[in-house]
Amino acid sequence: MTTHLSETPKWLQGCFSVGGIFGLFVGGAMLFGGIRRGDGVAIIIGLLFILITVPWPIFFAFVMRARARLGKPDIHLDKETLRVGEAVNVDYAHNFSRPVTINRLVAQLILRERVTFRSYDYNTKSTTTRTRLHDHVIQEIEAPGGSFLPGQSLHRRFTLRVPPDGMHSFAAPHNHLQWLVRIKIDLPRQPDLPITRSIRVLPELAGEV
Amino acid sequence: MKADIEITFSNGIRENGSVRFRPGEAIQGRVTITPRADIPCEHVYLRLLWRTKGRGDRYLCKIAEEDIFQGTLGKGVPLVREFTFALPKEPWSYNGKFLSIIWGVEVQVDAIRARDIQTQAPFLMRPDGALAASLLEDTK
Repeated sequence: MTTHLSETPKWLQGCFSVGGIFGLFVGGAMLFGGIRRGDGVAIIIGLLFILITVPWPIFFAFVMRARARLGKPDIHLDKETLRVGEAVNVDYAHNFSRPVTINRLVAQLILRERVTFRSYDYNTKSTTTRTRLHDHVIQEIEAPGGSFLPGQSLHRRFTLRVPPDGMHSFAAPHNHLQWLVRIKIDLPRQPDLPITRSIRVLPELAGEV
Repeated sequence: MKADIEITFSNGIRENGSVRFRPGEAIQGRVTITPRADIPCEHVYLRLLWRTKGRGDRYLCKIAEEDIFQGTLGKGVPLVREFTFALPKEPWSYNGKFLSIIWGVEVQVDAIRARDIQTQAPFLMRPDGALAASLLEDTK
C-alpha cells in the first residue's frame, strides 16, 4: 500500500493542476488540429494527453471542496510516545457547520517504511535522489458515520495497539520507520479524506520495568 | 578466499535456523581463522555492527571494534579468539519491504598488498515477543 493520493503535498497538487490545465490546452489543440486534418494519430495522442493530465486538477478540486464542506475535525491522541505492545486512544470530534453525510470513519495504525536512494543517470550524467514509501496497515477499525445538520457533531473513540511483536520507530540516514495514526473520512461520491498524526514507538516492551 | 573463517555464538536463543539475542544482552562467541597460505596483515578486526539493507542507500553503524591480531597469519595455524560484546537497546532486527535492519559480528583481515578478507555472521536482536504478550495480559 502506498500513501493516500489526497495526502499529496499542496505544492505537488499545484504542479499537477497546472499540468492538467496545460494538458487540456495542448491535448485540445492536438485533438482539434487532428480532427481538422483528419489525422488519426494526432487525435489519439491529443485524447491520451487530455485523459492523462486533466483528471488531476479535477480530483484535487474535489478534495478541496470536500475539505471545505467538512471543516476541520479535532483529533486527540491520549499519548504520542508509546512502547511496543501499548495502545493509544484516538478521540475524534467533529462539529459541522454545513449539512454533511459521512459513510464511515476508518482508523488505521500504520508502520511506514521511508527510504531514500540516489540513482545515477548515465545519459544526463546527473544524480537524482528518490524517496520510496511503503505503508503496512497494522490495525484498522471502522466506525459508522451518518448524516449531520449544521450544529450537530460526531464523536468517536478508537483504540489502536502496537503489536507486542512489533517494531519501534527507527531513524537512520536514508532509512526510516515511522508509526502513524490515520483517520480516513469516507464521503459518498468523493475521495476519502485522510488525516494523519505521527506517534513515536520506543524500543521498549510494555510491561518491562 | 585465502582463509577459512568461522564465527560461532556460545549463547543466545536458537530460532528457525538463526540465533537471537535480547537487546542489552551480552553476546559471546568464538572466531576461528584458518589460513590456507601465509597472510601478512596489518590488522585483524572483529566488529559488532548493524546495517540497513533494501531500497534505501545503505547505512552501517559499528557498535564495537577490536583489533585481535597484527602480523602474519601462518598457513594452517588457526587463530582462535573468544569475544564478548554488550548489545545496545536498539535498533531491533527488522525485515520489511524496502528496509531491513541486520545485526552481525564481522571479521575483517586487513591484508598487506592484497584484498581484505571479510566474513559476517548475522544474528537477530529482538526482545521476547511472547513474553511481551504475557506481560500485557498481566497488566490488563
